[in-house]
Amino acid sequence: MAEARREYWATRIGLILAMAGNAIGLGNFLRFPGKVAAYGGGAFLIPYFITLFLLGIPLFWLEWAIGRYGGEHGAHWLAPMFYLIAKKRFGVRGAKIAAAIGGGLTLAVGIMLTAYYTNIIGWIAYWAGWCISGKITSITEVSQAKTAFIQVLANPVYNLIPWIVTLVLIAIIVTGGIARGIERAAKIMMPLLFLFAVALMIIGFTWRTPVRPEWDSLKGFFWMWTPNMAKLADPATWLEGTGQIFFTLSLGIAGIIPTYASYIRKEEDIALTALTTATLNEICEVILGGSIAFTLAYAFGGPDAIALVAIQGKSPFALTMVAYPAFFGRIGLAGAALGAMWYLLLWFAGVTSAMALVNTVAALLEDFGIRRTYGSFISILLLLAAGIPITIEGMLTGGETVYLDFTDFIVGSLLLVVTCLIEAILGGWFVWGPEALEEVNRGGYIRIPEWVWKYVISIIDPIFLIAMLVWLPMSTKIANFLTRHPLAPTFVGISVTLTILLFIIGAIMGYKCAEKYER
Amino acid sequence: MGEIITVTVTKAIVTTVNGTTTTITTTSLASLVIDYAGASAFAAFGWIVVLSLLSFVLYRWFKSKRSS
Repeated sequence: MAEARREYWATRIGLILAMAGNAIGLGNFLRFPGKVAAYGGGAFLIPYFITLFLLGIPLFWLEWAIGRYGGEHGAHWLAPMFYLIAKKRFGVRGAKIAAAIGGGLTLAVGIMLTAYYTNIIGWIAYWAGWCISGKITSITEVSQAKTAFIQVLANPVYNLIPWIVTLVLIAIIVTGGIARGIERAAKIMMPLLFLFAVALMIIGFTWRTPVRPEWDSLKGFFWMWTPNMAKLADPATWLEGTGQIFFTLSLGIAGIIPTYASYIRKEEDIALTALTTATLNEICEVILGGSIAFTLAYAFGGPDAIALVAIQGKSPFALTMVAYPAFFGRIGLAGAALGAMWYLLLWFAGVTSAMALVNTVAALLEDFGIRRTYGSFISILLLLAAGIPITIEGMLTGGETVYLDFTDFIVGSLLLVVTCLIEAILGGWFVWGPEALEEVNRGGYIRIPEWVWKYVISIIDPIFLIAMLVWLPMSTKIANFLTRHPLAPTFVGISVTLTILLFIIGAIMGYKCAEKYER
Repeated sequence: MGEIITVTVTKAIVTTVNGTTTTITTTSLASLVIDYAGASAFAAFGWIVVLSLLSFVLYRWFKSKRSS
């Protein structure tokens, strides 16, 4: 067995805030309202909640159980954890293969996803800077905001500086370790995030007509939730509902939940703590996330802002980058203050998620004797290497983002489902078996019934996940990426090559690392 | 209990990040509909589910504190 690193979360509230910080990200405030608006309005909640209770929360418990079990044996990333839970049933050889797959998925998803995710956080930091400095008041038209944003994409200086600053800050936090770095940062950033989100929600509901009397903010809120029951017959609605649950709870994303959970003490509760974390995430998504984006968009942008989404199919993310700056700029310093809150809220949400991803890569490198300080900065270099094609593509094409969108599709929609499927098989009743249920219930303030493990995690969830993989419109999606601009095939090729390369390196590392846990 | 939001045609010519433009047709205008009753019902449903989950979690924390 590898030498156990005895690092733990210092407090339960710190653990909950860090785990919630990991789960609460851009997806809560930008992706969720966009999906609701595009896939049936309020009707979207039906597949969303069914998936939450049938897949999301059970798999969340499973990831916490895998993580704490791994931590008890000195394992802090997915590969050795897979090895430990698969060994009894599949023997050393089979377990090593599981470890190799876990290692490949950790490195490929961890690096590729964090690379573009932190790039986006850099763009958010850029607009936050405009708001804090008051410069945003010089932008009053959407066309001006669009020009400024294309400049960010096309100019390496504007693109790289906010991104690198964000990455270095994340590395410094992760270098501090679990209790002194990540937990402390979460204790500062998460309350501020909640404060800003609640303030923006209240402003959205009460300052209803800041620009024109007919642009009532509540119309944006009600438009988003207007149900379209016909959408429930579309398989895409169910796929997107499920995908949103995975994304929002960070399920299957490079084993970041198992890594965080590996620092929980053996006798501490995880069942109720995990449920509390999921609940905080849902508050941030359904209540706060579902009340801010379109409420503000309508109040400051009117029907045109909604038309961008409803007719052009733009996401709230696009609104945030090219439309909101103009909305905020139009109302002067009050808009600058409002914009600062909005972009800082998104930045905190992004950074607390990204530091979980960087921590996972640092934990992986620690298993090979690389100290956390060095590991954090090596992670940053890897992220820069994997993210630099975004900058190059922006420069060459004047602001296109095929590399980013394609990578998001491959790692953010496909590989995370694959990871969850493997987790559900290995952690389910037929492999890890009753031991898994014992693990999650040990020290628990609530008891998770046997049927959740036996039937939901072990049978229903794998079937659901396989169905997702089968229904995923791979060929249509890839064809769409390839035709977006003449250089698109090159950038799709770079993304595929890097993902495969990282998977192979991660698989070798996972296989090698498993040898340390053989005894 | 509904409303159709009108978007003026000149303002409905929207430009994408790529620089391409799309003109919103009168047919697509009809999609900007607000159903206040339906929207309120579903938004309330979402809030109730999430707040019920929160109540359950808080109840269990208080119960565990008292028993310890």
